[in-house]
Amino acid sequence: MNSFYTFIKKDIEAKKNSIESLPTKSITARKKVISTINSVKEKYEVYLENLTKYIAAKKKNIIIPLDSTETLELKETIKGLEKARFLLNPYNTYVEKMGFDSLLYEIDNYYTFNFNSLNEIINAFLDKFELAGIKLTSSDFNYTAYVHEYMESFLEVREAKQKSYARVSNIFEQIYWANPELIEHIELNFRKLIRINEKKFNNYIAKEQSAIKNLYKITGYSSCIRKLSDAYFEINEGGKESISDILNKALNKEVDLEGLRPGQKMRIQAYNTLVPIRIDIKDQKAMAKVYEALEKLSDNVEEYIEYLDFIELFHYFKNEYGKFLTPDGVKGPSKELTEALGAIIKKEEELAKLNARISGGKKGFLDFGSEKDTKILKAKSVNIAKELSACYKTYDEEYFKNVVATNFINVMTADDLFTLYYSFDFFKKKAIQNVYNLEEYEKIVELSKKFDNFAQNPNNIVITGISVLNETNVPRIIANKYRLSDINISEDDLSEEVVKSLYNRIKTILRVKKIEDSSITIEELCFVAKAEKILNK
Amino acid sequence: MANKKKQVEFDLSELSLDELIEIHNDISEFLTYLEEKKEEVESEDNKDE
Repeated sequence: MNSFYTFIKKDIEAKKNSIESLPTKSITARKKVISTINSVKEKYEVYLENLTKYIAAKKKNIIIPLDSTETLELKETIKGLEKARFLLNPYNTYVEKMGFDSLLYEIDNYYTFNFNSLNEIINAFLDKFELAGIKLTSSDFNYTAYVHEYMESFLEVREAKQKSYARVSNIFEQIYWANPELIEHIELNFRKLIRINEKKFNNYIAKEQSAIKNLYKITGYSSCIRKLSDAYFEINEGGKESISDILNKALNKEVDLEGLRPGQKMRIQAYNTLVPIRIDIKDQKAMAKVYEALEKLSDNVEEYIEYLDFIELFHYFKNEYGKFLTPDGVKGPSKELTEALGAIIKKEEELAKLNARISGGKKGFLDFGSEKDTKILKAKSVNIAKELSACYKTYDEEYFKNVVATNFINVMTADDLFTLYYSFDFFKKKAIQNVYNLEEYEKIVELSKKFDNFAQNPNNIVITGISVLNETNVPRIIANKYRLSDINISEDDLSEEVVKSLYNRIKTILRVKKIEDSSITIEELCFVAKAEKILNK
Repeated sequence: MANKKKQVEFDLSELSLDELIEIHNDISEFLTYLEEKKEEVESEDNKDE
């Protein structure tokens, strides 16, 4: 019996040499070459087909453990508890809990990002009002005559459940040239309606909070965080990188499986740099402690890397709002916030009076009724709306400063900061937009989601020790802790430039351990990964 | 027929997993070589015409 391996190696070499040496000068000679190639090709295609079938059968016999369904159920629970946390969040108000701040961010940046559909944003606002049992009519949209005209036709189309908003678009075109700030004024009108309906929204949220508390058997925010923390811990333990995760990462070229084999440079380097020389890696007892420490270090380093992704946001906050953090915190709204709100209410009353005159209320000092006077009044109302726009911007700034000053004190940590931004989508996206100089809405949303995923993990540990106002040497803290646990690690390993390399080395050791502890060998895993590629060609 | 008879004589279970993949890659590469060689020879035919 021949070894197929040896036969193929030798036969390919021989066939290549033979084909290369065949004459090709004449047509007859070339016909002979083609005929030889076809004959060899036919034979080798059969070899390949049989070999592929054999590889498929062999791969089928290697069982890769799958993720348990328990993890999937746990993921669902986490999703529900996250919704509960959102509703029970003690830092924000009904504006954020209703999701109005996200919509306000969209409409506020309508021109910046060239959104396709203003209608979608307006419909989303109206839907949220309806959730709380508030049916808005055209008379609610009286910020300016133009807003009223536009929203009247918008609501007619919405009421009739028409799919096409073409008629509304035409009206928008007409109004736009007379009042280019129309969208901004629609936004301000919504802001006013959100404010004056505060009680109804709070009632709606109270009902939602009560329902979700019953559903998840929680008493409030703290108990929700405790449950969430347990669920995260459980999923982290159960969901630690499995063999199938390693395989999937290898297929996506995120993990170099070959480098995990014994004798490979990547593997040797990982062990040599992280395990102290005095520990024999064959000493299972000593290594058990090392592996345990590396598991924890892996979580800490992963968290630190994610934190570094947002370090500029951290610096931005420190520079802009650090000065509002006091030793005892501030109680209640600041003078500036009260004044900003007072200015808005006063100006909105002024605007309402003016609009009543435009819509045919009382005769004023002008010869009311003439087209010319109406035009003057409309222009006046647009000017007041413009002033209001500036007032709202001041209000927003004061509002956020007040949130910072009332909820946190001067020992605020990075963890607090992440919770803060996570709780205020409008200010978070604005900060992300400024800090990272982003001009595309999709990129802001992407980064915002990444931020939320990180910020909402209740089991983050490293960031709870980072002070917003004082310098914290995180690499030193991590390195010192793990040196005590027999891990060869220095502050330099955790510097921004090389921390990812440290993470990869830790993961290499943990992956080797995971595979060695499983029912599958590294050779089998490499085979499955390669066979998968062959069979999916 | 002679070829097929010869193949039956090979026992793939003798090969390690790594060798199976290696041989698969060798055969795939060889088939690509044959295809390219065929095209090269055929293109010489076209030049003559």
